[in-house]
Amino acid sequence: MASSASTAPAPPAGAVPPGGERAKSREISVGALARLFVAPSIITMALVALFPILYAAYLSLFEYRGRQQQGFAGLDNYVDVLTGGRFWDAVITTLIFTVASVAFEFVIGMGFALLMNQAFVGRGVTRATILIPWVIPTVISAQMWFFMLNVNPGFINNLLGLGGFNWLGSEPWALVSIILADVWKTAPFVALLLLAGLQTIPEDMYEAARVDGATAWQRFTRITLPLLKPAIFVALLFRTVDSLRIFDLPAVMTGGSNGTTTLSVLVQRFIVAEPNPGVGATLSTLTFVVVLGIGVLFVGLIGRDLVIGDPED
Amino acid sequence: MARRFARFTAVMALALVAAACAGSSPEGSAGGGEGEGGGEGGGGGEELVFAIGGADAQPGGTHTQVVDLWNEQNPDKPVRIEVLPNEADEQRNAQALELQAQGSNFDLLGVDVIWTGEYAVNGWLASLEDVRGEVEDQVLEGPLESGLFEGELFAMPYNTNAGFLYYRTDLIDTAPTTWDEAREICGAAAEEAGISAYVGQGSQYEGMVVNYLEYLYGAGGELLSEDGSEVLLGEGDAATTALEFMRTAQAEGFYDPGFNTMTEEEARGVFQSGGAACMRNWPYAYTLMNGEEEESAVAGNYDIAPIPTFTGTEGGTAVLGGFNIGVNAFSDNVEGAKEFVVWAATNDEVQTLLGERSLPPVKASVYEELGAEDPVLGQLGEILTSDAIGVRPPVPAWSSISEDMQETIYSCYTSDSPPAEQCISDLVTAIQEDVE
Amino acid sequence: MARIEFEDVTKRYPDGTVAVHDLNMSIADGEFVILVGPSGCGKSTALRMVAGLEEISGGKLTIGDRVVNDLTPKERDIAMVFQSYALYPHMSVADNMGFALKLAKVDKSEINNRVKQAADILGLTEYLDRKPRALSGGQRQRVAMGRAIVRQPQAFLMDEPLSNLDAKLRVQMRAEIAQIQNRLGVTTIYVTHDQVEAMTMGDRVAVLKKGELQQVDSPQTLYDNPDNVFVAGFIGSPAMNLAEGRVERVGGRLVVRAGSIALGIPDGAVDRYPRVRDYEGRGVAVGMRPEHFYRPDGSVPPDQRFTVQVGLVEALGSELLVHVNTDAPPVLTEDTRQAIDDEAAFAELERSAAGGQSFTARFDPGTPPRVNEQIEVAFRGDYLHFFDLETGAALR
Repeated sequence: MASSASTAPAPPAGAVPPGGERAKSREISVGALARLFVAPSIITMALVALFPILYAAYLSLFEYRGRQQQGFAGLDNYVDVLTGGRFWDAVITTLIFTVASVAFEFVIGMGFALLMNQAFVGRGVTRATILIPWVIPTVISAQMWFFMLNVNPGFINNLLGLGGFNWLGSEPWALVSIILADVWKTAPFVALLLLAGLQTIPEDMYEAARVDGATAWQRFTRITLPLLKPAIFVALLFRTVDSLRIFDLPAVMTGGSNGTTTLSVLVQRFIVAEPNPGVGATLSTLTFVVVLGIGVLFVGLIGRDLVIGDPED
Repeated sequence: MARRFARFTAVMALALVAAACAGSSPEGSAGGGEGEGGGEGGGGGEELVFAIGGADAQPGGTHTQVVDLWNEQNPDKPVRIEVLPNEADEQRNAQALELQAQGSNFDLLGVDVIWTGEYAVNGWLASLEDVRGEVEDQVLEGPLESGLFEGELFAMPYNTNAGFLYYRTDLIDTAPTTWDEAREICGAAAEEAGISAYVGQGSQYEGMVVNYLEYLYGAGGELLSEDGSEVLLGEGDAATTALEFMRTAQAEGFYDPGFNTMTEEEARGVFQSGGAACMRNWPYAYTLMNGEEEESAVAGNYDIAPIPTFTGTEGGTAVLGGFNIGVNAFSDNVEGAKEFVVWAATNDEVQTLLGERSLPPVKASVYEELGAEDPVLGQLGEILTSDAIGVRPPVPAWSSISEDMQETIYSCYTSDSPPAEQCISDLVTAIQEDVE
Repeated sequence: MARIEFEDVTKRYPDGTVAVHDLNMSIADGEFVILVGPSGCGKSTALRMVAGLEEISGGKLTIGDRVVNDLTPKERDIAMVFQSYALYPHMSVADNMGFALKLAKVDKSEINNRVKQAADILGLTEYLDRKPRALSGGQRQRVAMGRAIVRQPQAFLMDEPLSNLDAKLRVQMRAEIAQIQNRLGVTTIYVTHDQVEAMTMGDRVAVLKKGELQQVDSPQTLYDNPDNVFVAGFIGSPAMNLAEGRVERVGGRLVVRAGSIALGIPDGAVDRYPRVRDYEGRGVAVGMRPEHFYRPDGSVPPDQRFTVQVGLVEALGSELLVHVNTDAPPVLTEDTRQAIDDEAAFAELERSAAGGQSFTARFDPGTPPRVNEQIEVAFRGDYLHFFDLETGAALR
């Protein structure tokens, strides 16, 4: 429609205005032009994001000995990995870690966010303080928690009067410790995301609810939670996907011992420590599938209307 | 308020990005070093690049001083250090990436004794057989063996390492020579002092494998056959004896309660603060605990002895560690590089320097000269020349074997099931797969 | 439905600022009272104290027969319409309107009935299932009204509910709200800064200035008989012309002189402002509403007319607004500053005070005078207003 360039009345269908054929062939349709403009970013994204994934999938089809490729293996690596216990143990460990840490982070982060959203003396300082754990690099906080939870010198044990309790050297406490460290570190991040959401809720919404007779709890459940849904969704999705990839905490705190071998720890073992790139690539491809699957499930269950949009809009 | 908060967050984010960038700088700074060393060399041809990692490769570190020494003596054949990351796995990765691509950027490679097999079988290392004769009579046998792959010298000994039994002289008169004695002597001393009996490397990592191999070799066991093709771990009962010992030590509290999360530094921390009667550790701890550099509750009250065995073998047992220097097979200057490795293994100044800096030398004469006044070198000299020493087999699949051992030995010794025989036979199966 | 009683109600913030000071006012059952005043006068604060959204620092507030000082908004049984409407974006129109009833655990069918009724009144029936964001501004305003109506509360509290609408809709809703209030007979407090809303909607208008109540009266009384110079200057659009003048007796008759303008004070004016007699030989603030100026013919006595230069002419069709330049000095007090409610305009007035001020006169439509033309203007002396210069009080 928009391509009729002249001001002359639209010619009847089939009639070609003088020179129209040529003009048409030179002009690029709006759609094509749009695709052309978008192409560079799509190509960049494909190179940056898609290539490593596809390359890993490709590598996973080969048999390796040490670092040396031995030949095409088809799906042998997958059969090996999926029939062995390690992968499934790691999946279970990772899922337990994810569910527990995300749940605690959400509840605590929500608490922090509600606190930080209040007007009180020293709010700025509180906000900054709460964020300190999140700002510390994970490897450092992992090291710190290792030191504090370790039997020697045993800070936490002394504090709680637990004597020689072996947090990091026994099941299931090693996993509990890692969840604790992750919650400590990341609850502030969740709080930050939720706080951003809270700040978009106008104060008079709460005043209206108070006048309507809502108690503090009802204001939270009927006003805050529904209006915070987008922020909650983003926070949960980020944290879930992030938790599924957890590596640094178990790597530093337990080295994957005592039931803390997560998927990423296992991937690291086969890609770096052993190394066996074929099995490593298989594991990372499977990890990708797990993370992607859970992400898609997530969007499907919780965030459909947030991602795709409300039908009323 | 909200705006200020947003700005604060933004600054934090920037800071994190900056920190992340700074974290990745070792590679960047390594590239930048090219101008410095190269330009000054003046005369001769291309400089040799020595890729090695860790604190000793930093400016002022031992490796740097060794290289400086070489450059002083050979201004026409300069060598420069390419600093690799601190983590052993990362060092290996950095070297492997280069070698896999048949790159010639590194001429000299700092090779951990356990990497030799993998590098050699991949054809990454130039054979050093033609210079073997120049060092053979000067270098200790054990370290030399650690540089061999299938009988051929691929990595030149540079510095070696062997563990000791540290014990508290204020609590213990005579060092134990068998594990039964150790259990008794260290246990009794611990009970009297109200501290732990024994600390060592019990965390799930390579160090624990070394600890286990010491038990294994001390029980007369072997891991692999000479050519590395056959798993001998299941032969006899040495493997189960070693595992049962660890299991009992863990269960009955001979080990410190935190033993299974300890690496070298955690063990030293406990011993140094007076929390344990006996400790298995490397020589580096000896000087650090003398109270001069760091506070030490045990200064003047500890000594070293060979690591006990189950039979009381003279000279105890040891599993060698340390770094050898390999020559990149794809180097443009293999001959020049060989010259350097021979020099580093045999030069008195170099080897004495290593000895003084807690990196046990490989040259036999250094132990004879310094052994009298330096108790660590004296003790080491004895251990390294005894029959008791063992190595981790220089097989290409060592890291896979190690990973399997870490996994199985750790989970078995920290719990009471499955039976030790089951553990060992599982492990044998896994290792068999690795070496095939 | 209930009466609302303010007794010495005070709002003091922790930093010491007093937003409302000793407010005394009685609102009868079913009455529609407008709270009006310049920005910062405390009108919204007063309303929010009634709602229970602001704590009452002192005094006593009664709704019905209950002192509500310490009651929560929920317990006060009032409904409020917010300036922003504060509709719940995640609820449909019906749910928005029924929310309070749902919280009060009112029976579901009862809720439906009441929502339908309210929707009927407001013409929202076909939008009940929509979300607020799918509505126009006017429709949202109606939903906000509906939310209040459904409650059948003791009182409606409205905080500038029309200020977000465009002019045309505002006129329409103004009438509608007044009608609905009339029909339901619910006691209503309505806060606005809009002159027209203040004059047209309520039974009575309460004028506030800096937290203090100035006058509560029917709109016409306020307009005709302002208690002080602030109310006089604030109420009315265009505003009353206020000048600093001097009362003199010339030949047995009282005359007020402002600059070169001298006007005889007829008995009618003295009757309304008897104390003006006491001010003979003294300064007063004299007030003249624009509509009491007229174009004189020859018969008008000279002490009721004067000559001025035309500054600006606004021909509005139904009337003619003429701004004329005079040498009458303006009244520059805190009262007039508040009444003007525009810092820049007041500063301009202050700057040019020495040269007099501009009066606004309203004439019947006709041939408009030309700018800069010298014209004769007369004033109906009976409608002169007089106030004390210092206290601002009317000279009654």
